[in-house]
Amino acid sequence: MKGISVALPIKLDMSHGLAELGGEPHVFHCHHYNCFLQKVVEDQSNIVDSRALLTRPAVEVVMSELQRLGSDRAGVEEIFRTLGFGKLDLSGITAKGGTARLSSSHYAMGWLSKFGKSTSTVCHFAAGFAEAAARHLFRTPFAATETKCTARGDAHCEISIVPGGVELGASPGMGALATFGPRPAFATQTSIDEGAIIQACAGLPLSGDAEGLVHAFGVSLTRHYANYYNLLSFRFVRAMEKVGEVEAMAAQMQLVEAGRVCAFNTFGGIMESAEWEGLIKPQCKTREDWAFGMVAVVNALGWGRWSIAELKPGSRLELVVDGSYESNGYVSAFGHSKHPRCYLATGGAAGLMNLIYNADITQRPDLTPEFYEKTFQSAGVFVSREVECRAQGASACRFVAERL
Amino acid sequence: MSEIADTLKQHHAALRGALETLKSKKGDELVSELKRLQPAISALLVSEEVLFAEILRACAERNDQGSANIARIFEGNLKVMAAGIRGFFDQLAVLAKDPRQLEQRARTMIDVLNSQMETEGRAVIPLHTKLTKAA
Repeated sequence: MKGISVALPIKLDMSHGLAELGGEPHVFHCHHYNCFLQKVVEDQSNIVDSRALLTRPAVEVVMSELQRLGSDRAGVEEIFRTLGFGKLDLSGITAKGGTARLSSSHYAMGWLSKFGKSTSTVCHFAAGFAEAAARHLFRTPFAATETKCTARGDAHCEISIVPGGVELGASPGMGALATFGPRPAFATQTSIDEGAIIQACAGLPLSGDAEGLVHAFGVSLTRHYANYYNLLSFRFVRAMEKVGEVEAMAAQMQLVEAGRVCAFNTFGGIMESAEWEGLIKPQCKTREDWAFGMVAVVNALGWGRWSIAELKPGSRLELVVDGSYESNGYVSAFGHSKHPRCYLATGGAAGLMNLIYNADITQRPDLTPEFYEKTFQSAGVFVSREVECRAQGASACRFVAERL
Repeated sequence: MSEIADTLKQHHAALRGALETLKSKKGDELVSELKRLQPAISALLVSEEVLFAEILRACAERNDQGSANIARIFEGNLKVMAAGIRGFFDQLAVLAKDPRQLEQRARTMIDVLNSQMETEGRAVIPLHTKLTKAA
């Protein structure tokens, strides 16, 4: 991991399990999750406006952050680079619009490595970011469209910025923050020193290199905007609900699948990393400690506070999440829900158990797409569900993963 | 309504009650009831696969990529669940040696099957009907 200096005032709020920059919660996610989530939405572009769904949340949340930070152009480019989205050059933008250029792009690189060459442009988040930057810097509405993309075979990525553009919604900001209850007694019945792990993770150089990329744990990481995921995911489900019940169910199924993909690749990559080998593995006395160790790392990612409430070896996991970023965002932006909304964490719970008990991550298997399929289409696969959610009025979100 | 959709609905109707009864069984009774239900559950899984094959064929005939995308999402989910359920029955003899584990795994399988049938009733069969009716 080649990190360079981080000048961003990112504040860790451990009482809410969050990391905050300019009034926006930030969470670590890798290119597997980012690109898979984007593909889930793009795959439905014949029935929903996938480009708007993927771009507009970026404009809203980035705009809100930039206004609070009061960043100048160099500061905006630095935020983009440091958070791991790539290298963005805004020098071609004036009050009349212009062209933003990406000499490296997290989404384009991630897409190429995961899905191969694309037939269309893929840097929708970056386009939204550049639009937000232009709106912030010139105090007038713009609209952005990516016109060249390395994922499509172009030499570099280019974003066209033109005056105009739609009125923006407000970002949920830090969201509806939860008051954390006491941790379940079981959560501390482990040899894992969670406090030390969180502290060690906070000290890792997980900021963009000179090209604005974060290569760590065998994946490309971003310190992304939690509300980008929230607005994108929840609006996607709403858009699919408008088409019909069949489409809405498919959308929610895919968002949980995105969580499984995330867990398999990011959790798996972390559990095979040198950092895990050096810091966490020596503390693991049992296979179950691997679950506790991973939950400790998750608690440094800005995803809220995860606690293992019960873990029956090889059989069942009960996970309580206080202040999940998904529920914070949902409650703040959409209010009460009739059903659970923490799709990422639901998939994550199953992914964690499958990694430990089916994929045998302790033996450092190659985390290939083929191995993913084998792991999740095998006898004894773990399936998960969210049994309580703050979006439904619960005080915390609770997940169960059980062996089928 | 096509033959396979009717067959699937019949499987659902027969299994719903049987799965409810299964919830109260323990020990040897649970094992024998699971063995008795295995052919019906296997038939359900096969019917589901046939239904998806029909849906995807209809999508191809109509050149309906959008519906095919949606169908593949449900089919992908079915593949995961079907592999798990078939694996459960493959391991039944071993699981029977640990009654508590068997009871828990059986409860999970019942939940998964009920959820799968609900999804089929609300989404997959209507999708099949829409595509085959219009063909």
